[in-house]
Amino acid sequence: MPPMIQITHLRKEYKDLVAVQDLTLELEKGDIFGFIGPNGAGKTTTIKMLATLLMPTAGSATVDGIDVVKYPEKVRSVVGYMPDFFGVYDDIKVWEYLDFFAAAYRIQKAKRPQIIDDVLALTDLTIKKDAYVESLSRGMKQRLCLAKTLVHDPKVMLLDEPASGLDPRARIEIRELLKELQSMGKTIIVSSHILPEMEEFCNKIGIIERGEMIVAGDVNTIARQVRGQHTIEIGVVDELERAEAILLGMSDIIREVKRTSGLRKLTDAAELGIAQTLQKNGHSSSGGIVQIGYVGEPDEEYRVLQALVQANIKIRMFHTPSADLEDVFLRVTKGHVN
Amino acid sequence: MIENPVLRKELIYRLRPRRGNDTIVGVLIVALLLVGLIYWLFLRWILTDPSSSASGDAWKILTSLQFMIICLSAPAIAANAISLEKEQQTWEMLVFTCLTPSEIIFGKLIARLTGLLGLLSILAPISVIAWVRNQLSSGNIPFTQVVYSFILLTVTAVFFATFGLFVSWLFRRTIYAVMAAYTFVIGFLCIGTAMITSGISMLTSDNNMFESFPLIWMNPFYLIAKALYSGISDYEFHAFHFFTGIMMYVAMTIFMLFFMIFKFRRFSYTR
Repeated sequence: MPPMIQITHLRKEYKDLVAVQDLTLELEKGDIFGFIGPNGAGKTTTIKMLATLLMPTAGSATVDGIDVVKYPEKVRSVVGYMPDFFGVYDDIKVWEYLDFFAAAYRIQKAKRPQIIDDVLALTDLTIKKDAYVESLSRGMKQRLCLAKTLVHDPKVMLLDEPASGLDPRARIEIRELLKELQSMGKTIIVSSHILPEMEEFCNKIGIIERGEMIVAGDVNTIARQVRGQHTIEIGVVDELERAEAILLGMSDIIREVKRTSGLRKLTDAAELGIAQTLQKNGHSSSGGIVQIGYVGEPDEEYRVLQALVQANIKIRMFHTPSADLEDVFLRVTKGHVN
Repeated sequence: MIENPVLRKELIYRLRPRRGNDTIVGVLIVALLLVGLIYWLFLRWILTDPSSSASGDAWKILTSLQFMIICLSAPAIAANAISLEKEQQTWEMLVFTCLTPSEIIFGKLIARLTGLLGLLSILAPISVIAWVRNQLSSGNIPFTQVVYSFILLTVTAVFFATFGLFVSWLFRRTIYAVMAAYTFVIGFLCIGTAMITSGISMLTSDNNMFESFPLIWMNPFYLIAKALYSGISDYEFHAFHFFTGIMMYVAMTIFMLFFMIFKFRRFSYTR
């Protein structure tokens, strides 16, 4: 089966400016690809080339096996595109707006009402079906644009900064919607500056700077590549010092060991409560959480856990936190723009 | 009923009355009063003037008025058709759909021409009354003259609206598109062609040069004068000049439509 999106040595030039150069990428069905980069890095240019709205200077790109340069009309039938800046027709109602785009995507008239109801339900705009578009808030217009993007049930969605300029609540709504689309098996390319949100639903990321894709691939793999290690958090009920000593002794696979400080989140507070209870019952009070920088093979992480268990350390948590994209982004990019 | 979504949107959604818009109601009342006044003045003139040429003169004035409406409004009506979408940032999403360039272009053009037709149809009944009255009295307006005038009005309306659409497609800002449309229609076709031809005529000291120089055949006022006032004293019809002018309008209209459709991607998308 061909990749859902395949980009090969893509290049875009504007006179003296090289907006995108030698960009190569492959995405499978169901991938959610976070496209990260500073302003002017080439994210929008790349998305527009995939959306058949810009002609590449060189290289090739296919969507669902269809060449974006040779068959732009066919590509549009399988792609949903939401630009970073967009307007809406103010003088029509919400359902009319969606009906217009459904007709423009050649959806039969008889099927349109059901499709409109479905996308309105998905984007939580059913209540606004008969409202004029101009009366919607910015967040609602953003969701309406997403609804419009979905009317022809595209396999691939290209979302350029879908949450830009929105308040936190509207951003959360968009994020939840993207998760819903992810569960529907859509292949999504989403560019955003709000990196912590991307961590939650992107399984792959690409970092682009000055038109060049610096890194691309699985989020955790990239984090590991960039940092040269990946983080594992270990919570121990007591004997934290002894646990640290054991971990420090595994220098072949552990680069650094550090304690986390403060209550990082609510669950830690709950865990602290557990530790206090254990203390009352005669256990040591020196429990806590320790972070290690693991540099060994991914499938040998068990060795760390095994070593601790064999030393009778009481472990209450052993997990890999999601990669910190901001950290990765700052490490990889240099802040250069075209 | 209307299959083209662009045409449907433009006609049904945009032209429908908005909710409680006092300004539009006010404009409509003023327009109705104006139209009523024109009807009253012309009907009184046509029906009560004992002169045998009154109805014929009334028909010519009404046709000239319709022609003026076309010259003044057609470029502006069409010049915002696409540029406004670019300004509102809706254009990119429209061209991203599965609609073909011809569907978008013709949808926009027909919608704008329909608006223009609506404007012209306001004067159509009184124009017909004037001509019928003329046939019943002196009958000095032959049917061929009505046909020529109709052809000229139609071709000019389509040509100017297409030109308005063309510049709207080329420019990103409506203001520049409107300026370009009027510069061409008023500045070049109406004034420029007459001035250039007059200049050449004066330089060559050839009085026949004015009418025989093809540039003047493109002048809308020259064409309407040929259609309406031929046969008066020494003013000849010059069928060749008239139809060459018409054909130049048709040729340019077809060229612009083909250019827009076949170069659609190059100019429509973000560069």
